[in-house]
Amino acid sequence: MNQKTMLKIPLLLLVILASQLAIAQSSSDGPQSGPSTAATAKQVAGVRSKDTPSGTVVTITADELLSDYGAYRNGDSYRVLIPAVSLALNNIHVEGSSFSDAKVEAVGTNLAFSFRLQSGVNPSVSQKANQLEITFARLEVASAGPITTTATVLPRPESASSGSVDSPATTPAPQATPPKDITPFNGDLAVPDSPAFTVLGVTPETVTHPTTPKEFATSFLNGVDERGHFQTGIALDFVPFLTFFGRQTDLEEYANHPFTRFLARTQVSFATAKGVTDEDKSTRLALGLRMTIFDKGDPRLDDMLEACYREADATPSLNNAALIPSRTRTKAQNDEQLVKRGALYGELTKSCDDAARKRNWNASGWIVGLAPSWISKTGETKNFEWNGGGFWSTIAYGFENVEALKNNSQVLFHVRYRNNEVVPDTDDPTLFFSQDSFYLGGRLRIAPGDEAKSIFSLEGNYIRSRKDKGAWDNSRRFSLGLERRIAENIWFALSVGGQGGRTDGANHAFVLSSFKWGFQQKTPPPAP
Amino acid sequence: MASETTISASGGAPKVTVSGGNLIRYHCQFFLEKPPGENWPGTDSPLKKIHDVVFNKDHAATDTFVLEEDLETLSLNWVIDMLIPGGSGSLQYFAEVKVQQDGNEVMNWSDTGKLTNPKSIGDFSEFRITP
Repeated sequence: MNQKTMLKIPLLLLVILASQLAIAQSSSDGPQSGPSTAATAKQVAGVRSKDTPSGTVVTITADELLSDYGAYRNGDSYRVLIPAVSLALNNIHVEGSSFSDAKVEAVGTNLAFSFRLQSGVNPSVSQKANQLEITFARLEVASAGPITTTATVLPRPESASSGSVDSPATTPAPQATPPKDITPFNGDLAVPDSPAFTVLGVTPETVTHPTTPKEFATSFLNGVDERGHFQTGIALDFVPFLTFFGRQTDLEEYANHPFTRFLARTQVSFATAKGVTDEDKSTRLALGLRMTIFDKGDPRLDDMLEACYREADATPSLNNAALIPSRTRTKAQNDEQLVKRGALYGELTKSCDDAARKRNWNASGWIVGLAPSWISKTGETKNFEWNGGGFWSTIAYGFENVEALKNNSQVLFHVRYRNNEVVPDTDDPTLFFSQDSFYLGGRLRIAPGDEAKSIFSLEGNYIRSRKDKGAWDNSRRFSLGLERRIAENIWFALSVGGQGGRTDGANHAFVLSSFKWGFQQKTPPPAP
Repeated sequence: MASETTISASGGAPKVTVSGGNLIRYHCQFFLEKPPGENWPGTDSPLKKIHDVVFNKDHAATDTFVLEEDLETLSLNWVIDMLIPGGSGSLQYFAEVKVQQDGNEVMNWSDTGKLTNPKSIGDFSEFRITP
């Protein structure tokens, strides 16, 4: 395939998007209709805790009317279950002087909030429209303690870049949310897997990953109504080059042509969402690009991984005649044997993939993401206007040329800029404000030993932000951290540090601890 | 079963071409199979491997080989093991096996679908020899 043809892909996408807008503008306007492509489940949009003279009040706010809940007490353990909701946030933070060890976890389609009660605390729950108010009443008022908190973090539901820049397979990225007076910012140094979803602040339940032109066309056409209006709830994530030209591309071309590699590693996300509140009839739209400039941990170019696959190919059990199609069997029998063979092949090669992930966790790489967004305050496509965007870039260096560090260390540099980001007010999650922010951060991680049971980190960042186009606020933060694996995919993290430059005076030292868990990445979006 | 492969006894040696597509590793193996109840001389197997090729970063995803054997009563069987290097992602796979004799296509088999986990595909085609 010539490069001229390849260059047409991004142009094609832009033309499709532009033509969609143009079609809508020339059509008559009317209410949107038709089903949404993605299921829109009820979501918890905010969790707020507030200490009062008589205890602590935790307010859980959903984006729709809450119809049911259950509350259970067992000794000092208190649990509130909200059925059929999901968490719209990547993580939450709940703290209060009347309880400790607050957690939220997804239990099937429900969310369970659990708290360990302090002595003498009596909990109760009341419901008002889309809010649940959990009151922890106590007799005496505790004195303020040190700035120490325990937060529980939900794993991000998508996830799956195979690139090694931001996804060390054995170590979930730090995402614990510290107390709000320590930092209001996400300290994640990764480029989002789907920038369009991030810039809209949504975590779609159903993401379409078209792998053929036909699937792409179907997905796209399902996303607009007969008048050409975008419907809300669309979530597309795919690699255009592989969707449109995958048939003519192979691993050998990928290995030998840098431009093919670049195109095959460029992922496009597209999403639409409704306004941020029930009353808000606006439609928001974002287009995201995630580009891997280079990745030294690319499994498609990994010689050791290929050697491992070759060993798996030569396994005697795979050469069993029973697992090879034969004229002596019916088609159904042959198909059944092929399914068994595929499963066996998967088992034989899984250890190769696992070993490659561990080997390449700290490989050098560079990923860039960007996502412009638009908003139509009336919900009509012709009224879309600029609504800000985001830019992210992460460069990782894995010390490949330094013998003592190449297997156990990585340094990351991350920069991001968000413009007109809609952020919930920490004092009232039903309110939102616009935030512009610039973040510059770096992290050195060292994981001694073959098993990487402990990871030491040194981190520093600089944040410049402003609320509602007001004055810029600058702050900086440095920390030393230790992450210790205490069980498979469960980590205890401790960080000690300090921050300065904040205009609100919260420039003190801090100690943060958290438990984190994560999953081995296996699903995901169109490679890589 | 794939369609029969009709070979002219007076024609040249048939050529088999296997090809794949997308960023997928294909391990392709071809066998000749004896009629039911018969084994290859010196073995207790009706199957004899005649070709083995891997499409990976070192080998473009197409390969051709020639069938030199006497194909009377035999069948051509193939199995293709596929995976996405690294084990993650979802890609459309494309696999095709063609047999040509003297430039004419005498058998064509293809399979396509979505690949998420390692998967094996394959089939066989019986030879019919015409005078």
